[in-house]
Amino acid sequence: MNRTIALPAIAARVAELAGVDADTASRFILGLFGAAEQEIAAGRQAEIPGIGTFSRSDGATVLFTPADELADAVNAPFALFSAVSIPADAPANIFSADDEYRPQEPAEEHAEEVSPPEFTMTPPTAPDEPVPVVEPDAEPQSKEPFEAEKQPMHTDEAPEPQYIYVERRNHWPWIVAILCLLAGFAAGFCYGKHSSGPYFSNPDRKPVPLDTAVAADDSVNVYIQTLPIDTDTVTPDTLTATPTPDEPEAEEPVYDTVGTTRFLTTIARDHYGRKDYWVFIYDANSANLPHPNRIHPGTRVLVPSLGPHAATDSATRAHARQLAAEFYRRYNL
Amino acid sequence: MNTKQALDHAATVAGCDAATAGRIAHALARVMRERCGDLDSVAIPGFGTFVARKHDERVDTDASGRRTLVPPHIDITFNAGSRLRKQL
Repeated sequence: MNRTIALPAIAARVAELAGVDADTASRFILGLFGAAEQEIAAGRQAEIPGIGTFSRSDGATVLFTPADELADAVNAPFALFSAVSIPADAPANIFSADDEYRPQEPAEEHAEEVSPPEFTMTPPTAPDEPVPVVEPDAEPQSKEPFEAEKQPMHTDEAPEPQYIYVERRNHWPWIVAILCLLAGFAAGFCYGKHSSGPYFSNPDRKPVPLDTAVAADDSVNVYIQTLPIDTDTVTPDTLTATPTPDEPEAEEPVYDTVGTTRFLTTIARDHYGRKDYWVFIYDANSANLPHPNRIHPGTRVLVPSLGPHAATDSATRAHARQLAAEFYRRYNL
Repeated sequence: MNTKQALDHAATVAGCDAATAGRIAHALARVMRERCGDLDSVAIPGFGTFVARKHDERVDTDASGRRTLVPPHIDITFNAGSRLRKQL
């Protein structure tokens, strides 16, 4: 609406309707209006079928009379209207007049508009309570003149329903989210409490056959490497060997406990004076310990004596570096 | 120049036969009806522009004071192009 259609768009549409190409349609349109142009310039009347008639007026203007089929098609939406005589007693401005001169709407549509909606709230009344009857004479006496002027002109119309906006608050999503969060915390706590966890278990530990197992002291968290026992040759008498008086007394093993702030390096520094010697502690307990960085706090470890490694400080450090390199390769540290 | 002569001239310019020219002329009239019915303007280069304008309902008063309510309608006017005005 209110656009200017250029020749290419017209030619494309004409070509679509006539079944020709757009170039042919464009040349035909230009040729048709070119012929009309020559006729108008010559002072003659030119008629284009379906569009209208062109003629030249006295001056340098062109008079255009649209064809009847074009005028009728354009005014088709107003074909039902016709000129109407206005009565003499009608107001001066009939377009802003009252209901008398307005077009009457169908009764059903008018009833739908003025009827109150279904959700209009009405004050509850008791079934036995009689409907109050308003005395026509009593009500105007109690009202002030100023309030009376506020009354609408047309009292037969249905009163405007008054809507009260009540904000809808729905807290259920938040409550459900909080409950799910608490349930997740509880499940995580129970799982962590009843399982050792993947980081504190020793994946290299394998079950030991009963005939080769030796009961270890439960109070000491040290894994004792055992050897197979030949039950045919070994008797209980042979197991009760008494130490010979010539053998020197074995040194009492030293144990220490890994804590949250006490690592193998800390223990090595306390016992050996160098934290780099933690590898000897780990080597002595490697069968019972997992990843060096994942030792569970509270684990008791055997602190071996340096023994042959303590020959010289340089040899000990070299051996410690060698062991550290081996551990690094093992765990890809 | 009557209608047939105008169509023959346009068919000669476009290089098509009379039947095709008739179809194109009917299609052009239909396009004009569609565009003007939508209150659009149709511009022909060099010739002019067809402008569709809607007039609302109004009250006409004749010399005797009698008033008449005139319904709305659409008028189609023609504004000559520059080339056509030069030839006049």
